[in-house]
This record gives sequence, structure tokens and C-alpha cells, in this order.
Amino acid sequence: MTQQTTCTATAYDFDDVLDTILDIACRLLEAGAEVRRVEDTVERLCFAYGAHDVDVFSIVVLVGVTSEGPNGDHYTQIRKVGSIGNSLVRIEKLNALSRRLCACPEDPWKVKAEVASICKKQTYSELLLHVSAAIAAGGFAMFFGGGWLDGLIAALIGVVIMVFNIHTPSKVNGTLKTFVTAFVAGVLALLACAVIPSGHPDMIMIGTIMLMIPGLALGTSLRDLFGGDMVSGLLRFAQALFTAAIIAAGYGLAWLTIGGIV
Amino acid sequence: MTWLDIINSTIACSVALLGIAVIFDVPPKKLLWAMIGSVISCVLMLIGDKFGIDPLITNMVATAVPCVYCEIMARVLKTPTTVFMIPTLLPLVPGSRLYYTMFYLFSGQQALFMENMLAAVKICTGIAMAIIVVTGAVRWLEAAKKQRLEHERQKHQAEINR
Repeated sequence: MTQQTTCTATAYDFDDVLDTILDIACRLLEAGAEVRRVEDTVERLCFAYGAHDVDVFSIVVLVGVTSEGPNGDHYTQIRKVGSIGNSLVRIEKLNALSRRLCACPEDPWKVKAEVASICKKQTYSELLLHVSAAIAAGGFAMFFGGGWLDGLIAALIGVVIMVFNIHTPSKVNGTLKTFVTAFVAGVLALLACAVIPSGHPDMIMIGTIMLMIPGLALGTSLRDLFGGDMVSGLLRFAQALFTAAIIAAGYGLAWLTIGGIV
Repeated sequence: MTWLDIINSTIACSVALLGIAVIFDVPPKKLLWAMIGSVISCVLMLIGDKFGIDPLITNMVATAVPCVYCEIMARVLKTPTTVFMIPTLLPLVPGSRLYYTMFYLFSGQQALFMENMLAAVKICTGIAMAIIVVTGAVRWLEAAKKQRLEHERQKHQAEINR
């Protein structure tokens, strides 16, 4: 009986409810979730909170929803999404939260605080991120045919890439950051091979490129496209291709400038 | 490529993917399951290479099998499929083809540039086709299940009304 009283949905102000639901949707998009998942989550949550009808539209940077609340009024809210990163653990936690809410709706203000705390938490420490960048770059350099030496150099450059990734001020333009990082990684690989002649610059660069390739964006864009969300899929696909082109330009510039000298 | 090379490459790839998984923020408890998926795709790709199978076919199989694994694990562990899918598909990204495409573009070797670019496109097409097939099949199964549940609910309701 107590279970039933805590699970009543209609007691909450639907404006607050919608605000909280859009909070979850925004955080999902920011973490790099597919649009279909976001739309599905919003729809399910609205119905769980007692809505009679829900219309939700989302593209990569925007979520809009109009819903007929439990009292028959129509509510509309639109939210723009800031930066898009990649954090699979946030997608997982927000998904678990929304599953829980669908089973038993809770006070929207409490949920809002919980969403904020989920998004504040860092799963892996900065040190661990640097180490994993090193082993990722080194491992890929060896996977694509490099030797131990290539792996080691790639690992060191991987750390540099991660330093750029984490410590660049957020005001710096993302494209510029990618370009500079790629250029520096290319220059370092070529210089290292000039000092140590038995290294293979191509293997080292391939290893470090794998760190920068927009894998999550590309994967999500394919899933969006084949799920029927053409706009979002194409947007994200274009974004990924553009990033790839910028990376190529960075490495290419390194070859053109340093490659002839060393 | 000998079997020993395949084992070596698989180990290198697993180590690299552990790093990538941490960078992509895969939940710590699910790291192992995501790693298993990527090892499956890595091994399938290397075996395809060893026997000289067309890269389109190799990449389709090396995508489809781990994709099915991801969908199953996602349902077993009640986790979004993306969590497993991204680390799993990363070994298939044609990193070296993309690199050489860029390299030959800048060094002005047209023929090699085209060759590498087309090879990269072919690999990506293979991956995309496999994702279409698996995702399509899963959506269809989901829709069928939903319909069945709805049907049962209506039958149940009708019985109560009676």
C-alpha cells in the first residue's frame, strides 16, 4: 500500500517534471547517446509521469517536447545542448535512472539533483586517463605492424595527446585544438624517428591517430542513420568526417614541414 | 601471417582497446564484457586477413558477430548497447588505410591515394552493412515482442471485463 502511495505520478507539477526529463535528455545527448535513445527515454518518462500524449523531437544539439499533462493541459519545452563529449558510463547511469523512474516516478527535484551528481562524477582519474592513452597508442602502433620501439614512442606521444585533450582551456575552439594536437603528434613522431633511425614514423602516427579518430561520433551516427533519424545521423556523420579531415590536415602539415628536413 | 602473428596482434589490440575503453569512459564493471566483444571482432578480422578473404566480407562478418554479442549482453546486463558497441567496433576502424590515404594525398601519389581511399571506403561499407542487418533484425524482433505483449494484455483485459 505504501509502495502505491509513493508511486503516484500526478501529484507533481508537470512543468517541473518536463524540466527534469529534459535535463536527463540533454545529459544523454551530451554524453554521446543516439537520438533514438533520447527520444525513447523522454517518451517513456512522460508517460510514466502520467502524460496522455507526448510528441518529442530531437536532433544532435536540440530536444523539444510537447506533452499533454495529466490534467489535460499542454506543456512545451525546448532545450539546446552544449558540447558533445563521450562518456559511456553516463549513458549507462542515466539509462538506469530512467528505467527506475519509469517503474516508479519520483520527486522531480530530487531526480534533478541526482542527474547533476551523475554528471559531476569522474569515473577514471586523470592519471589513469594518461596511462590509458599511452597503452592505447602504443598497442595500436604494434597492432598495425610496428615493433616494440614504435609502440614505446607512440605511447609517449599518446600521453602528450591526452595532455592536450584534458588541459586545453574550454574556450579554445575545438577544431583548432584537434588540428594543433594532430600537428604536434605528427611532428613528435617524425622528430623521434630522426633521433632513433630504427623507428617507423608511419606506424607511430597510425597508433596515435587511432586515439583521435572520432569513433564514438561515427558509431553513433551510423546507428542514428539506420534507425531512421536522417538529420541527426547526417549531422553527426558530417561532424565526424570534418574532424577526420582536420586530423589528416594536421598530420599532413607535419609531414610537409618536418618530413622533408628529417 | 602465421597463427603466432595473429595471437600477438590480438594481444596488442586488446591492450590498446583497454586504453580506449577507459578514454571512452566505459563503466568499470562492464570493461571485461566490452573487451571480450573487441577480441572477437579482432580475431575474426585477422583470420579473414590470413585466408585472404575479401575485406568487405571479412569486415561484415567481423562486425556482425560481435554486434549480435553486444545486443545480447546489453539485454542480459540491462545496459545500453552503445556501451559495448563502440569499443567492440574500434579494432575494425581502418586506421592504417586512412593514414596512408592522407600520406599519399600530401606526397602527391595519386594512384596509391585512390587505392588506399577505396580500400578504406570498402571496409567502412562492410561495417555499415553489418550494422544495418543486425540493428534492423533487432528492431524487428523488439517490435514483434512488443506486439505480442500488447496482444496478451488485450486478451487479459478482455477476460477481466467478461
